[in-house]
Amino acid sequence: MSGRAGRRGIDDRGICILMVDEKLEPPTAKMMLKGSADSLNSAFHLSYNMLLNQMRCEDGDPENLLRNSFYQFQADRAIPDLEKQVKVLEEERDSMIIEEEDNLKNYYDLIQQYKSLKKDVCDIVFSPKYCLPFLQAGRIVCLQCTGINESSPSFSIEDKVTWGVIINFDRVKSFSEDDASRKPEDSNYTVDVLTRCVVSRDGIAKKNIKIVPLKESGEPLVVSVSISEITSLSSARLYLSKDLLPLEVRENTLKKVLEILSRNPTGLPLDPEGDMKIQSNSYKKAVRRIEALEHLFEKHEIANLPLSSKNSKYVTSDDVVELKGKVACEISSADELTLTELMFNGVLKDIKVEEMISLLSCFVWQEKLQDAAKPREELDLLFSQLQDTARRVAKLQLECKVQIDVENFVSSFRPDIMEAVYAWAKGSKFYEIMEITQVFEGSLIRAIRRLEEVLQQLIQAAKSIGETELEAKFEEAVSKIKRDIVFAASLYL
Amino acid sequence: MREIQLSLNQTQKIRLQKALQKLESLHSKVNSDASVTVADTIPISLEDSILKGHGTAERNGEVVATVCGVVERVNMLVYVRSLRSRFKPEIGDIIVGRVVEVAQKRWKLEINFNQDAVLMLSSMNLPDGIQRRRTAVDELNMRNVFEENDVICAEVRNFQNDGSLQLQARSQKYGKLEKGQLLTVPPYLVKRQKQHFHHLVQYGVDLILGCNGFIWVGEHCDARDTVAEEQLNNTEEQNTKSTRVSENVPLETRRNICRVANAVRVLSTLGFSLTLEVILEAFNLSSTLNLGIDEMLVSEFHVLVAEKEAERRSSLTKKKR
Repeated sequence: MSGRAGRRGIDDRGICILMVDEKLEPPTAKMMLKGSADSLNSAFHLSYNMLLNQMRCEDGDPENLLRNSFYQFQADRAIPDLEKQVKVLEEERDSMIIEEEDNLKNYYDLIQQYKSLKKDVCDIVFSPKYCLPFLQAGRIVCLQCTGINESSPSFSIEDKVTWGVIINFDRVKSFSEDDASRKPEDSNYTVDVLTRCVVSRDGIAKKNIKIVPLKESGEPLVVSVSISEITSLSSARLYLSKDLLPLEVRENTLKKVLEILSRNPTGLPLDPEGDMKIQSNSYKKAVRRIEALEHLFEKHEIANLPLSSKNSKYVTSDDVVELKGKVACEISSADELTLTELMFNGVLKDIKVEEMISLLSCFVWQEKLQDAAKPREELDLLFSQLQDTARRVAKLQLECKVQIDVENFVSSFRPDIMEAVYAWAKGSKFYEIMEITQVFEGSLIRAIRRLEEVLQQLIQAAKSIGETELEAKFEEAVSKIKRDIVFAASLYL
Repeated sequence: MREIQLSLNQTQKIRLQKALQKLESLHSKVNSDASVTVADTIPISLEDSILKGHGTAERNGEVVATVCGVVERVNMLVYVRSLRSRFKPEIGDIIVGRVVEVAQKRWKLEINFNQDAVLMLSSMNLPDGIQRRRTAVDELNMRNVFEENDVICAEVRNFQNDGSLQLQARSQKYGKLEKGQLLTVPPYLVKRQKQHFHHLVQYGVDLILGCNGFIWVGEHCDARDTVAEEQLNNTEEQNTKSTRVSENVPLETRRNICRVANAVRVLSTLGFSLTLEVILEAFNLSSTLNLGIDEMLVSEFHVLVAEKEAERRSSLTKKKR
């Protein structure tokens, strides 16, 4: 409950009368009146622009800035709680007593290593590039039985496996983008295998098929499995009869498989060395850290931000700000790194002024609009270039261990108002562009005003690198959008 | 390479040539064909959209250089960086300048640039240290803060519309410089680095490498206490002011100041970039050879410094490998 009754400076007490028009629970009302205020959590974020400007002055000390910030203060205050949590977890861990812990631990580690090695080998062997030629009809395969829960630790080396016969394989059609652009060897495949299964129906009449070992009871059925469930291929191939519908035919096929297995217990596996050489035996180390102390990563974040600036030539190794850095120093109203990269890649140079304006509008529009219309071709092309640049910038930051989500970063640039701003730059009236998009008028006006700010900063940046053409282009852009009701100082005309 | 203004006899000339050649060979010539003179065409691939930066112009569809220098490329930006030019200021540069005029609410400073720089009264800390609006009384007392011919160090704040600089001196380390020497060197010898203020502890000397080519070597002052100094100056007689300035500097410090200044002079004659290490090397060389301070400006010492520098850099590159 915030606000104050009574006249300021005159009344020392005020009366407030609450009229409740809906049913309100007493605890809720109590919380409204007597509850504590929203906690104030600092969202301090040191931007690249600030960092570069600090490095430009001799006295600039960004570490000091961060150390004295409220964010750091709150983080420091939270440390005792985190340490307590750490202690509790450690005690819990110490209290779990296992006999012969060392030996068991070694054994468990060995098993984990073995499993991961096997998985690596499987991944290589069963990448579609290598195994597709071998997925012929009639080939005997070794499959994993269902019901194996991979996440629970098991203490045996042997997996529960069974055998079956390949009937066919299919490419998985993914519902996402670029189906045509994906090469055949990169797609996922499913294989139809004839093997023994147990079919159960749960209450809603949904079939649940479980693959079981050949010798157990069940029916011979054809199921689709993905390549990852195949453990190995055999070099033996059966002659399959054309029609697999009758039950006896299927039963006979499985009997033949059992015969081959009984004669060759190993199942005559295909030699992976024959296909390719396994080049790397990489042992993965599993490292588990206690997550609690990661809050202190804020201190590391300063060390990582300059690193990514150095890696992309914004700052020399002696911390002297270079040309790119000087350009990024000028830009404070939009994402400076992506915009600098865009400028230096010449993207802004060749396009027309109106197209450039609509591209820059992606930087100033932060809201998410549901079902926005896709902009026209040329604008869409420019937008995809912007996304590529943004992706590169994010990946570079990721390499320098700044905590950033690449896809999130890329999708923070939205093309929703590109069409509207394009029309505005061309000279349409404001009511005309309001018909193009469904945004609020105020949001659009705020976006266009912010766009003009960004353009002014870009003019300064272009001046510092000496590109007079680009500077003139930005100035022309400013004159095109700075007109009419959007930039009217007052609406009382 | 521009001729070094020294009178050398034959052996000295040969030795100097050898040292300079050694230094040249240490720098890997990555792109020696990137150096251009005026009106040279810069090679660009025409499909890319090239951004034309400083020192370039478009002529008959080609990109030509307008200055002599080295072509630099940053992504799609092509520009020519001149090796030897007038001082080119950037925002954040440390400048040492001399007051030429006390104008209305500002001081005009000479800084080896094509125009005088401006230091506004509001960009300067007041003597009593309070933050307040500058009144007419402050304006009348400007002469007590800085007078004509005072040496000041400040930082570039921004550029004005006509291209002249606006400075600011709002930190404790900026302000009036006293008890020392001001040297003028070509501005391209002072490269931009992380630190331009150097305090040589063992000699008690402050060294300020101004990016405009003005170097200040003086006695070390801890923080520029304009507060204490102003009050002292106002209470004492005016004629004891100058004696006070000179009597407090010990003889040893004065010797060190002169030695450092001569080291800087030697290096600037040879055309070497001025960094703290190089200056200290020259200083140490002169002390180990027990040269008198005036003997440092002899040609023999120049040659020795060049040889020492060649040695030092070759040992550095060997260490890196």
